[in-house]
Amino acid sequence: MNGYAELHCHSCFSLLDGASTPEMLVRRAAELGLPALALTDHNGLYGAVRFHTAARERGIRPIIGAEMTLADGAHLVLLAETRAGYANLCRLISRAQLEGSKDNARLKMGWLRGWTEGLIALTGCRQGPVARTLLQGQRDKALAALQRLKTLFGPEHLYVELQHHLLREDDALLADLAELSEHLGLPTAAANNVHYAYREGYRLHDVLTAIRHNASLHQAQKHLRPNSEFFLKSPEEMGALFAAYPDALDNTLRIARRCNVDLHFRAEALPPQPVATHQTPDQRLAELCRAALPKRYPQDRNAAERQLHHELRVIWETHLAGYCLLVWDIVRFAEERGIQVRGRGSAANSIVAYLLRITNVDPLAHNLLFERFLSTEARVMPDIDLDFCARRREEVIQYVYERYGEAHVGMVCNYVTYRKRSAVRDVGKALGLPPDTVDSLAKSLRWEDGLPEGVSQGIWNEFRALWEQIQGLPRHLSIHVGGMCITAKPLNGLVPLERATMPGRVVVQWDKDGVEDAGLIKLDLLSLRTLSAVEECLQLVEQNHGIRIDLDALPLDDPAVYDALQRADTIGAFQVESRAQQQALVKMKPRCFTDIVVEVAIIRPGPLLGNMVHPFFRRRQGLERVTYAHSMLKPILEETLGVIVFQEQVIRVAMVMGGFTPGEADLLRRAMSRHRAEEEMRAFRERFVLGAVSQGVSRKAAERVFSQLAGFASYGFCKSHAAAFAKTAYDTLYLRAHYPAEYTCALLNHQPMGFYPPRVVAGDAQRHGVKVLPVHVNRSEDRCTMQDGAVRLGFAYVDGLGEAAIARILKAREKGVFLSLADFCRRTRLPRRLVENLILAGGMDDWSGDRRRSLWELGRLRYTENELSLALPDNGVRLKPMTHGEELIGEVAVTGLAAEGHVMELVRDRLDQMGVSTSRDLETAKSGERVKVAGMVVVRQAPPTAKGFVFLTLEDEHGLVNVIVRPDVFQQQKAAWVGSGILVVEGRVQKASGRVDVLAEGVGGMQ
Amino acid sequence: MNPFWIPGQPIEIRRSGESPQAFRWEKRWHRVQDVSAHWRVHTLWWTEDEVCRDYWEVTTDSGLLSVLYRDMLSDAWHLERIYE
Repeated sequence: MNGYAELHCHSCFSLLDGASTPEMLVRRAAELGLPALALTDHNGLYGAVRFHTAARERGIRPIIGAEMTLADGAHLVLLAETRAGYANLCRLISRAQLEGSKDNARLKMGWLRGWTEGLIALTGCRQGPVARTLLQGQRDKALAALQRLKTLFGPEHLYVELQHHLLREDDALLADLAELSEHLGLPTAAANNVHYAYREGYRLHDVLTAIRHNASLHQAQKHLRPNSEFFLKSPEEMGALFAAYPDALDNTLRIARRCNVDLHFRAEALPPQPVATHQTPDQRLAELCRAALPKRYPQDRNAAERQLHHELRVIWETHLAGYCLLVWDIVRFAEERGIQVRGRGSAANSIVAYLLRITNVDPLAHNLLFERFLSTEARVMPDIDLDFCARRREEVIQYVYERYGEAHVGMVCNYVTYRKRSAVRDVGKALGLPPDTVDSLAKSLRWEDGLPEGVSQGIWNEFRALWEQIQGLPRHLSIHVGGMCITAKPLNGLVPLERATMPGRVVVQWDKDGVEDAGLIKLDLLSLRTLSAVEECLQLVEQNHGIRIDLDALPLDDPAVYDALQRADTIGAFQVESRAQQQALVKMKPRCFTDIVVEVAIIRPGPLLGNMVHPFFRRRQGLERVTYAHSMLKPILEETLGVIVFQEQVIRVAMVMGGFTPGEADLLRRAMSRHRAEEEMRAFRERFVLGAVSQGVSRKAAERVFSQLAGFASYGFCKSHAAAFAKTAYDTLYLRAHYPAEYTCALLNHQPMGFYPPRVVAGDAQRHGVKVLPVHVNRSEDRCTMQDGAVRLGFAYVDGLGEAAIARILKAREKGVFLSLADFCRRTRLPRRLVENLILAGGMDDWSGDRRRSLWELGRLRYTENELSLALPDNGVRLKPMTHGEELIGEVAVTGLAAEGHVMELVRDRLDQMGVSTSRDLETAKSGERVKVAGMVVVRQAPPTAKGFVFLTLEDEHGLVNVIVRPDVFQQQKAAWVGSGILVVEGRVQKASGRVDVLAEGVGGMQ
Repeated sequence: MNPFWIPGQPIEIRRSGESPQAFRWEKRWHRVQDVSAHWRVHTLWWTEDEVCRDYWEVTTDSGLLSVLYRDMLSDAWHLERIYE
């Protein structure tokens, strides 16, 4: 029998050891004609799902396994033969991980007793318990070790592993192992302990080893493998190596044939159902939804009831009622505790989700499509993400753990991978590059400057090659921000668990893609600072105005909101405040909620979606006629002026014109967005065209529509997701318009957040009439608070004032207000620097109108942090009082804000003399007019797609100015353009489609 | 030059496939009777002194136990050691 299957193979998920991805290994195995391949990473199944998928796609049988580290450090390979074996493998790995310390998983041999069903063991490499003792010349111990393994696994489930890497001792070792195996009547199996797919990978493997030992290659030499034989070998190469042991090769095929594990858990993984005993989950779900109908649909309920009936039926057919109830329960818990929660994503397409208060967007009112969320043919689990108030999300996570039990809940993991900078540092260090060179390379990330100092050409070539290769490889595991797995059966029989760095947290060894592909239930419990800010604002409004606003009941047509949107007056609002958004808003001029949805969907970071954005805006502004590729599409594309914007539209078109079922249409959408293979798309195209033709559409028109679909599907946005976000945007705009002071206070308490720094948010609020009061030692709290309708800055805004210092101030103040600088110092004993900062922030203005004098007085106090003695006598020094300008600058330096003015005011006189216009002046300037503008740099963007153009936003005391800098202009004065502080820009005004920009021709700085 | 990897003495070789059949040392040819060990070394690729060698421990018809190696980078054969 010819041929062989590799049973001992490491991927990059043997962290800092294996050099190849699972996909690379599978590809190589296919090239070599191997019928099967095992993945046996250290103490884990991290790459198992990717490996499984890749192997199945190529017709190679995937064998799931792991190389376990035993208590004494020896290595043992375990392969899953059956599903039961797989479960045992997961349990054993979990135990080894959880009972060991982090990154130090150890399997105790005793644990194997009774847990070996369905597992096949290989005795491992030179570090295996048998080989290791043989190499030490302890034949008796080797025999005993092998006997022990035989007792645990039985002769049918244990193979003596033979490896030959052309190392000097290998011949003798193999002979000994073969003899031992014969002595105990055990079969042998050949393996190559693969650590890289192609021979060339040995270099990256060595580098990873060096990194793992935190050393250079030179220092790590004794840990490196003696040669480069640890690659995936062909049957011929293995045949030559094991010519004397033909059985060992044949047995690899026998083992491969025995192993049959499929990684699809959908049927088993349904989460536990929170229902009463006399009900099924479907009944409970229906009951909850029906009870919610009157509240959500106070008027005409017929359409809602029909839709509900339809959705409940689909949910019943797909067995997902339990899942819906699970999510409902979490939302219910959050709302009961007053924790803001919003569902997002495709779930907002569902009326069930709306009724259960999982989402707060009415799918009927906004013309959403349930089939984008769920259909009977859907092969993937539906996706429900929940955003929670950032401050309180942890409570929700705790609730989930308590409710379902630690055995059933795990956080999804995230692989932190090598990026450009980390790759430079680690590869540079491994290759022994001079540390300064590594440092500067890491900072600049440029190597066009030729050979760096202290580096030979040869090493430089190696460095660049390895730097490329290492990128994307995992470095270590962390927890995915909010992904949680919840299962009915104990998790540790489905996927191995391990400790997270956060104490008490347990993480599954798969990332979100792995979890999804394996069919496990995953929920994303995310945090959104905006929701925290919204909650605080609502509380402030209730405190100050006695009104508790019900955001759910807000009508979506408030004129103040649309007015602000149309003027792009949106700083501080959710999703619509960025520069790109503002520029689109003046073109879009939203008039209704759907317009906001489109705005959120179209304007996103990343490459400008030219095909979609430009035609849409042209039509919106009347510059282009609204046309439809076919009249059938009018009802679907009317809301977006004939342009395909939403994924839901792609699905509808496929259904209406192509005659697709909802599930098929969603498959088409997903295939398009993943850039699927040619053949797959061709098949879809044919089906679509046939379906269209059968309805009387011409073949040519059908082809054209399909091409349009394909063009948009890859970046079409999920409408329900946009709608959910648009609702939050609307809410923030509403609050901002009607309760600007409370809203500003809440925003300032949740920074950093959003697109702009606090300074800009505060400045914008002030221009809207909100009064911002500086820090005050007697009137400020730690956070910003409302006082007499104004926003009082909190102590947290003063540089250097941490929790402890603030607590000291507040506690001291409990006994009574501070009466003077000396009184403050004596009672709080804060370090001098912090007191200085408080003075500069204006905190003690009540005691002395002149901050410089206060600083001087502070200096005169003989004052150490814990001692205060008498003030030194005044020797009559006369100080020049601080100017308003100096005060402003001091405030900004210490708090990041200027509460009662704008730094630009200080230089306005000078600017006026220079002929510089204000941002307000630009409103009346003519397009083409030459102008000078000045301001502090708020935003500087050089998007990669903009071909060298740089976009700046400057802020003066009246507002913002948008500046566009051509590449040549930028390059001419690069240093000035990237400088900080105030810029003075010369250029021409450009007014188009409601936008005002200044096309820059030159720049100067200002002190 | 790395002290662990001293270059051996270059020799002429006759081989069959990959393995040596005979080598020329001290003006005569020695025929390989038995190959007792064969191993491969590949390291120091990150220096100027990369070592990539295929080693052969052989006994000759002249009764010599020798260690030869083939430098895989230059494809030249060397005699590393001879035991009488």
